[in-house]
Amino acid sequence: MSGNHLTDEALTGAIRKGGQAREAALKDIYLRAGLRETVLKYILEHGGSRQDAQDVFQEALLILDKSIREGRFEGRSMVSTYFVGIAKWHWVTVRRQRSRFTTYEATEQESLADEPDVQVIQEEERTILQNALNQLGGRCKELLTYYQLDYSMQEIAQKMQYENPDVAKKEAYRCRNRLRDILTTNIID
Amino acid sequence: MEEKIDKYVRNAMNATEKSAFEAEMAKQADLAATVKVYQAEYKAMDLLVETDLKLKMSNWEDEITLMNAPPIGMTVKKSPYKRLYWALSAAAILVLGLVGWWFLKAPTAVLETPVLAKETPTKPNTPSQSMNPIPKPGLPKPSPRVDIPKIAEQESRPPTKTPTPLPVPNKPPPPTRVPPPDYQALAATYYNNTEFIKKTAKPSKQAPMGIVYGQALDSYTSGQYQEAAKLLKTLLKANPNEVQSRELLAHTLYKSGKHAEAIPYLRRLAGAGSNASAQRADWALALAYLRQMPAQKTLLTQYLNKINANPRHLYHAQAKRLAGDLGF
Repeated sequence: MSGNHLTDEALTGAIRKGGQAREAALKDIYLRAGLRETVLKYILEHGGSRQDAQDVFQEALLILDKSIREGRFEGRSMVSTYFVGIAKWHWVTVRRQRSRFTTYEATEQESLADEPDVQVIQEEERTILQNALNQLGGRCKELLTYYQLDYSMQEIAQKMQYENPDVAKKEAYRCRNRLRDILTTNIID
Repeated sequence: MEEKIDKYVRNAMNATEKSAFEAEMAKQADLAATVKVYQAEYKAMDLLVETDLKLKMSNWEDEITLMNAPPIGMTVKKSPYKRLYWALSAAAILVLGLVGWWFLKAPTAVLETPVLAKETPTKPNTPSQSMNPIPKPGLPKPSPRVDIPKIAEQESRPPTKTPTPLPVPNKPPPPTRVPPPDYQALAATYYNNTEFIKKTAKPSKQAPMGIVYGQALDSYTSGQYQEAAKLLKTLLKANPNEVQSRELLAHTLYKSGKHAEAIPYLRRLAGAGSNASAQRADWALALAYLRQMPAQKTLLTQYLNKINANPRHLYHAQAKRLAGDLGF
């Protein structure tokens, strides 16, 4: 909310680092009033509502986080520019999806944003994966979240209140195996 | 081999390694199938990260609301009497201060007179004096200071003889630690006593796919929450502003134990005005945050305050009772 925001370098570094640093960096972006206004203005001007703008803003942050973590964002543009680009691209995608159910204004001139270099999980696949995750216990899900965010075994042990990092490692191994078993039996076609 | 697959799936191989590995996969169908499972696993774990971040964003959104907005349900009106209000407040404080000063002054004057007239030496019998005996020249050395617990015991014992009529201040009883309420049980009780979704509800006229809604409601009623959620998400995708489906989805998630996942849906409903569905969402949100106590105390308090501030709110009585149960 204030003007004291992290620099782009600090932001990307913190997100790649993971843990609390990542969370603080993402929160920093989330609270940028200027960014919210830019996205809101774009969505309102392109047939969306305030609620749509909020949904798009949140989705854009998810994509940005993933892009930075996976090294797809290379820092050739500013983080804010990249973020707004994702938001625009996402809104176009949403409108296209909605047009399958309702009448879409085909004549509308919409400035299509470039598709960002991200792999968004498709809805059908998402449902299948979500069903597989639902078969995992809550502890496993929590552990795998930390694991995916590159928390060290020491940090995982601390967060999950395991005796030591070795226990965390064994549990991570067990949970991953369990998840793969579920996926093997359920989804692989 | 597992490490190698992990490296490939996580896009951590250089170009040479990657092409060599892909050539290997092309030759071995088993390896290709294993990689497929690892890729699905990676995506599933990414979904977990996504869900976690969504919850965090929901909380940040609430923080923004708390920072910027007035208490929910109360509109800010610029009053022309604002200055007068402050002036009257200042005057009231001044008057109270003067009255307080007068009260303090008056009893002291009354008490001082008889003490001076009697000139009776006071015995060092007060707790503070007995704990800190002042050594006087010529007098035997005071005995070493006794343990504090013993003194506490003496203080709490009723006096057998009262050599001086000086009143001994009553020590307040030690504070008893009240165990925190069972938040989960409380939430379950209040939730079960509220009919959020009418089992015989018919889809609204705005619902574009009434049949699908009916199926979702049947699934919800029969406890098949996973199926209900799937249908409702499809409905919402087609018509994101449809209130009825959103509400049913929120309660489907809630009843399947995914209270945190229900919160964003409820928040959207609650923010949609002050109609019945928004008020139901207020109450459901309070209960969802109650499920996350003590971590979400601020947000629980915020929603209870919102409901309690509006006597015409559908859940005013319940919210008042819950606030009482929680000792807020």
